Amino acid sequence: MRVPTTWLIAGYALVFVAFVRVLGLDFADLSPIPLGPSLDPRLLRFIVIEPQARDAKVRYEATPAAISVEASGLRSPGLTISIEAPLIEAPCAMAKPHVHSAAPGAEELELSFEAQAIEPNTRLRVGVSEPAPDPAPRRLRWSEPLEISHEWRAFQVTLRDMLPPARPDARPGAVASILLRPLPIARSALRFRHFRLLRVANVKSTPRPVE
Amino acid sequence: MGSAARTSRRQLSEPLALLTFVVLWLFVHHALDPYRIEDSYIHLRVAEHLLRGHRPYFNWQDSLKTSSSTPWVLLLAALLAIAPAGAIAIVSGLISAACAWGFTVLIATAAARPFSLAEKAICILIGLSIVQLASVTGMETPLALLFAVFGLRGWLLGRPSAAALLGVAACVRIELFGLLGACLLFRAQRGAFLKNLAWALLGSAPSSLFDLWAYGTLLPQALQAKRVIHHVDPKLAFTTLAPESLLHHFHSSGVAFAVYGTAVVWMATYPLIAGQLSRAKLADRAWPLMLVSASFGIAVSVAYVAGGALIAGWYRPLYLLPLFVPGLVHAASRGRVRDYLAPLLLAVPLIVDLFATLRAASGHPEASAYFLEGARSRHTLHVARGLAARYPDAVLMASEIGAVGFGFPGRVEDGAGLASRKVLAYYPLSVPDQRLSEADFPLPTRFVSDVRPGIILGLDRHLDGVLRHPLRVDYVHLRLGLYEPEDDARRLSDELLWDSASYLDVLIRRDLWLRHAALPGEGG
Repeated sequence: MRVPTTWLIAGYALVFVAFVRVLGLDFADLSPIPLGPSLDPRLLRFIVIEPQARDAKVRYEATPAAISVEASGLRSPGLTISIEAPLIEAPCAMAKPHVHSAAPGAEELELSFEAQAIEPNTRLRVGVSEPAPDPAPRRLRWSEPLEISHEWRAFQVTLRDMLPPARPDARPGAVASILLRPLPIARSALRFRHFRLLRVANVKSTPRPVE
Repeated sequence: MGSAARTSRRQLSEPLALLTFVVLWLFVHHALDPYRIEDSYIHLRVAEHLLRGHRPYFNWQDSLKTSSSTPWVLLLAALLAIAPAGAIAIVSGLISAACAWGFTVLIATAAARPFSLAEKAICILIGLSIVQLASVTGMETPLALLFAVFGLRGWLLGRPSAAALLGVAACVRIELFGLLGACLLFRAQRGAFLKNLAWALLGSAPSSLFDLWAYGTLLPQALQAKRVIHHVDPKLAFTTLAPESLLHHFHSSGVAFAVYGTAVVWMATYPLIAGQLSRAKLADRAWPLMLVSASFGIAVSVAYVAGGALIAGWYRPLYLLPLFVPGLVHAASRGRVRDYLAPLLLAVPLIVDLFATLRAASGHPEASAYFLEGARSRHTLHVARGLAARYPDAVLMASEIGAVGFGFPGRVEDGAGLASRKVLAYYPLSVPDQRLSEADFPLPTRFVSDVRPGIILGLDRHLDGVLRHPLRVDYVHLRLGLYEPEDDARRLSDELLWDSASYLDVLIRRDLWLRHAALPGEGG
């Protein structure tokens, strides 16, 4: 007895469909066209690590008052949002246009944001890394896990809430990056409406030309 | 003359190449020995108890089958009796090398023709890639599969004693009882079946009788404990069936797992159903082996996913090795190297893992897929030894008992139920109030409160509830790093164990702390 080729193809297609069902994938996940979040190309400091998002949008804006991130539809197991070298920028209307940029002071840092989770039982840890001389790894300080619910909820995290305390040799007032990591890692999906850095103080302004 | 010289050179070069490979492979095991993982130490502690004349229990007072593999424990005890602990890594290396060689011999026997050097190299590479992680981390799976591949070969050649080898394999890893059953039942004729059954009983009798004498049961405590404690989402279980490198690089892409899974199922089944199915094929030597291997590999994978198992790296060879048999036998029966392309392609993620291990052994342990797990076990072992020196009579409680148990000879209360039945009464814990996910196993605070151990030790994520509990005031809290300083410097800064653990927390009951602080010549 010979098994027809069409039966074989149909059989393996069924196996694939069964696996897709177990993994809970839908059509957008199967699309060969990458559907990553649309990032502002001028702001390469904002990195979404391994996004697997369909209609994700991330908007990043640095103003004198705050760094603002609006994101929606971010959906990824293991998603981490990393804001590298956050800077506050202020355009300056002098003869030669330029911006003043400044790093937020770590001790004065307050992160406030609103978030809504798609999956139940989702938690979020907010982390801040301190700069370290190369090649030493950066030291991370993490907040306690924050519970994100189906409803929009506002959060405020200060550096004082994070463990461990800064190392004695850490450069005071410096923030190398800000990280947002949902838990449990395998099945979290977050939607941020707003993410702001507030209370930026004790920082030095470093003018740099606008390209 | 020239032909004879070539033949002679070839006869010499093959054993030399094999010897070189084995020596290198043993060096890899020696280099990575400090990074063996948590669970391997559970077997070691039980073996040590046996060696000291105690019963083979984790806590010598409690009759529980904590180690899931009695033959492995007996082998470890025998090794510890005659050689330093470092010899275990060497023996693990020898076992996995022999397993890869046996796998190659099995494929060649099924194809019923001698192999070229390239074919041998391909089969050894694939076999070794499949078992290597289990081997370098110090687990028992390669030993189980060593018995299984030689048992299957004997079964293929119609030797009744093959059932004895499969019986031993099943005692080393309980999943292999399925393979033994399939071999016994396939084409079973009454007389042959009974004879094979007798051999199987003979093979499994020593370990089984030992288990009945020591524990009164054949089933490991882990079977009961994991059912109560872990509830792994089938989606997560399915994902973790895949090789480590696939998990690492494609963990956010479900499609990759669906495609890889389908391709593996195709490789395991296509040689069986393609072409003509006939009586002649059933009588063929290779076909029954392919059928039994494919069925067993698929059945084990389905059982893991359906049972919501937390699939660790050392489980994977148990289904991957059988699933590669049909593809390799099919290629070997055709006899052309290009026919090996499909199994080789599907083995790429496993080969990537193998190369990561080789790099890890060459002075870059951080390259290993299990670096964080191994590094934290290494540090935990040192911390536990320090605690044992200072508080030898204390009761220590931990949610992971491997490295802690090997470093701390005193009583260890297990929060995850592998070495303790009573903790199971405190489960299930709710998500997210009491644990981060249903796969997580923090110390239940009520259990801690009821036992009030002298020392509590665990990852920060496992002691979260304890640190918030009122009983916390009765303890001195020490927050330690999770790794030795050199390992801490090697890891990536934002690379966290299980994506969330950063510290090793130690709590010491105040009365114990003060009693030892008051000893002359000792600090607080």
